[in-house]
Amino acid sequence: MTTHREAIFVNGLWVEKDPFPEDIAKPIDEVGLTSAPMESMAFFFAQHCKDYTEDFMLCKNESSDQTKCLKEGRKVTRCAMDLISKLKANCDKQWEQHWKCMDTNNHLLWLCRPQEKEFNDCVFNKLGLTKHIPGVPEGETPVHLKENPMFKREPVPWK
Amino acid sequence: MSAQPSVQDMPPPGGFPQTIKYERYLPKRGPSGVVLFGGMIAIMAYGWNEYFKSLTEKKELHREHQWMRINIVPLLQAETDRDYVRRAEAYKKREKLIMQDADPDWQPWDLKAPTRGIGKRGVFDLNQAEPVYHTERHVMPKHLFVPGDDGERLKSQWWRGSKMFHNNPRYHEREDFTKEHPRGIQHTPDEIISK
Repeated sequence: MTTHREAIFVNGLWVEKDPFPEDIAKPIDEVGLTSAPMESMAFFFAQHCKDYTEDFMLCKNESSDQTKCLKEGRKVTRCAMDLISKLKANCDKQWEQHWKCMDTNNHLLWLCRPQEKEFNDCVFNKLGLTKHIPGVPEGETPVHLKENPMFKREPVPWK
Repeated sequence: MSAQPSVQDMPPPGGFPQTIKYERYLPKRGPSGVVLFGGMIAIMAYGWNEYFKSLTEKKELHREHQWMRINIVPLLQAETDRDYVRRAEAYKKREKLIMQDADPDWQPWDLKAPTRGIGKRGVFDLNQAEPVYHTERHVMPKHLFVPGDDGERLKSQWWRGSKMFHNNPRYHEREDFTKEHPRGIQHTPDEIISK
């Protein structure tokens, strides 16, 4: 009863082609990432852009008006673009291996641990960012650092 | 009856030879009951322990997956906000153009602008103009008038025939489904073909 059914527009889809209005703000380079690379860099983005994301979310908390938080949103996007260019310059190969593995494996992190380890090591050595999972109970190792996890499987290779 | 000696099927004198086993032979051997139950309980305890450990690990994996998604939210929300503002401004511009001859003071797509016809206490009165909402918080407009069918429209299911599922195509989108083989190439065993 709670299955999701996509809306079917029988007349077809309509796309708004007008650009962003210049009098509100000048346009900005959008992040062009697909979902798999974005998920790979999610934890590093959280650490690298913590201040800007916190500002943005606090501003969103005050009001759901989309016109009120455009400035903070632009800062978030610029920080993300900065991180992406740094990752491409330093750890491009390892990042690519990780997100390609995720892409063919339903975006499951536990199937791509070797590639993730290589990527995390490279990012730590070159950029100094670590992956941190909030809310892990004290005394437990985070699940991505466990030596013998119970859930493991051969990933589907990228073709 | 006469007191004759009874005829019974007796063993031969000297007893049966050792090779014929006529007595019950149920030796006490193998593990005792305690050992059996203990072994069963031990195996089951191990299994249950492994199962509950897997549950905690599954919970941690879920935690990791959820935080991965939470961390991405500001990025996507900022992008969506910009897109929404772009589309909203374009819509308002279009609506203002349409209404400029009818009413130059028309506030397009604004539920907090005074609307002619809505009166105090919800009466219909063409001489009064009250906004629909009197609140301070932001209200999203619910209705949108998309340009008519003369505008350029995309196919609703534009992804049909695309390469989105190139690794595992849908059953009816596989390449071996042709006009000659509408149900795909059926692999029949050779012995049936030869008959």
